[in-house]
Amino acid sequence: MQIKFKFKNINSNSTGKFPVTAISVNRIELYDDVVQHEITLDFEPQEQNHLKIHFVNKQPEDTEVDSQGNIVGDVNFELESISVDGEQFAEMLWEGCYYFNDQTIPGCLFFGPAGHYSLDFILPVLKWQLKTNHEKHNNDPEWETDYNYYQRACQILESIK
Amino acid sequence: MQSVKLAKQLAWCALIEQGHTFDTARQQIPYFYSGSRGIHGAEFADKIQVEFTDLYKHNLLPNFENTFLDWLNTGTCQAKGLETFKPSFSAGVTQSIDSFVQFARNKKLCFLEGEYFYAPIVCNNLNINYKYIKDASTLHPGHAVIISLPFADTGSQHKRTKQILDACDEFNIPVMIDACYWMLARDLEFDFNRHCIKSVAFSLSKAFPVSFGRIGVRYTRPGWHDGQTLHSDIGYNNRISASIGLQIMEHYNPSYLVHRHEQRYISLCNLLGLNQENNVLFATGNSDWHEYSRQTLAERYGIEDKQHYNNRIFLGGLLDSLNIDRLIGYADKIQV
Repeated sequence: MQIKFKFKNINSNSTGKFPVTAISVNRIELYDDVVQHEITLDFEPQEQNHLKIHFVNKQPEDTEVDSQGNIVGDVNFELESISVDGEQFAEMLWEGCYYFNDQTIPGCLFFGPAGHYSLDFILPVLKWQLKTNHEKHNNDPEWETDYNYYQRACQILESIK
Repeated sequence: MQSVKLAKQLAWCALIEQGHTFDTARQQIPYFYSGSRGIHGAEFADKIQVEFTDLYKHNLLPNFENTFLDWLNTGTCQAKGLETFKPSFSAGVTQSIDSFVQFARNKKLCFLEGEYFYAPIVCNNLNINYKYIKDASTLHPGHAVIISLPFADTGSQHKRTKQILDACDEFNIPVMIDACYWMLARDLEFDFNRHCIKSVAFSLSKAFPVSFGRIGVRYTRPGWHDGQTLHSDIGYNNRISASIGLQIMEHYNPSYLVHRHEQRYISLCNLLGLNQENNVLFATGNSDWHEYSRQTLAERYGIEDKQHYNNRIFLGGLLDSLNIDRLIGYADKIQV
């Protein structure tokens, strides 16, 4: 399967230093290089999948401030979207957390300090969305039944094409 | 319950095939076999054309009104005894129900249990007396009756229809026949020339993909006067709809849907364990099918209703599927 990342607001500071990221899925490192606007990687999906996106080269001195303490330059970036074989994670991105300096920020897609974004996901994305929604709000007990009808309908339509 | 599960699976297939997403399909599923909707039919667009200038063609409405009955009787069903009635354009059957409710506002309107919801809702809103009946035993002078033929809750003629009309003749009770489903019927012959029958209304909405055109014809006794006959007399009706209606009549048989879907309808009834009714869009099911009954629909509409309903199952959604023949052929491989 292919997992595609889109990043935005990729900033370098006055020294020309660009952010570098290391991306792993299920503890297998798939990428370790300068952050690009789009990065597409092959991976082997499992029943439960674990994604980590590390901000590996950030140093405190990368943040540049003027005499008044205003930040005038920095090395950082933002995660915009993730999709697997074209299926967008969409709002499920907010299920991830950003970890840095023993702190955890839920739903943070901004890579400012050195740290990593971590997200557990299952595929297909729709199943993950429905399951997560029900676990959070306990308001959709029929989700799995309907999901199975939907999946089977897609298979049947494919079979009778 | 296996049949209901299979039906749900087929409904999901039909909706996904139409391009619905999981979420939009899921919204449709509870209603897929409930209610009654016009069929789809993009292919009709090749034959049916309307123009702005149709609004100024003075002969469209009289042509439509005066040729409708002859055309209607070229189908598989025979509507007899309407030759002496006067035709008027009707915005679907609904306008004719409104007219009849106005006429009967000082009487007590009676509906067989399971009748179409519209008239009772109008009566409720206008504080007009009405009641549901199971048979003719509670009919008296001072009543008025609206009865659908084929009956709204099954798609077949109600077994009490003759008994009801006999009582209405005896007690001089005026009757409106709602023949909205007439063109869906597979085989029906009915003589409308009975003293009690004052109004009979037909519609193209269910058998042809023109439900949003609200195209119908009402037949009333000579001398009947109300707003609808007034507008018919002065030609002040929807000429665009009349134009569409005339073109439908020119290109299609009134039993078009019967000819097109009868074999599929029979196959689906067998496949899903449903009882065939005398039409091609509705079947009836046992208690397993209650979630799709019109009682459930009435509750969803907020209509408090403890009367008896059949579990009428609408098969038009499946019949509209482009892959219906392949789905029927594949159904025995579907595990539910």
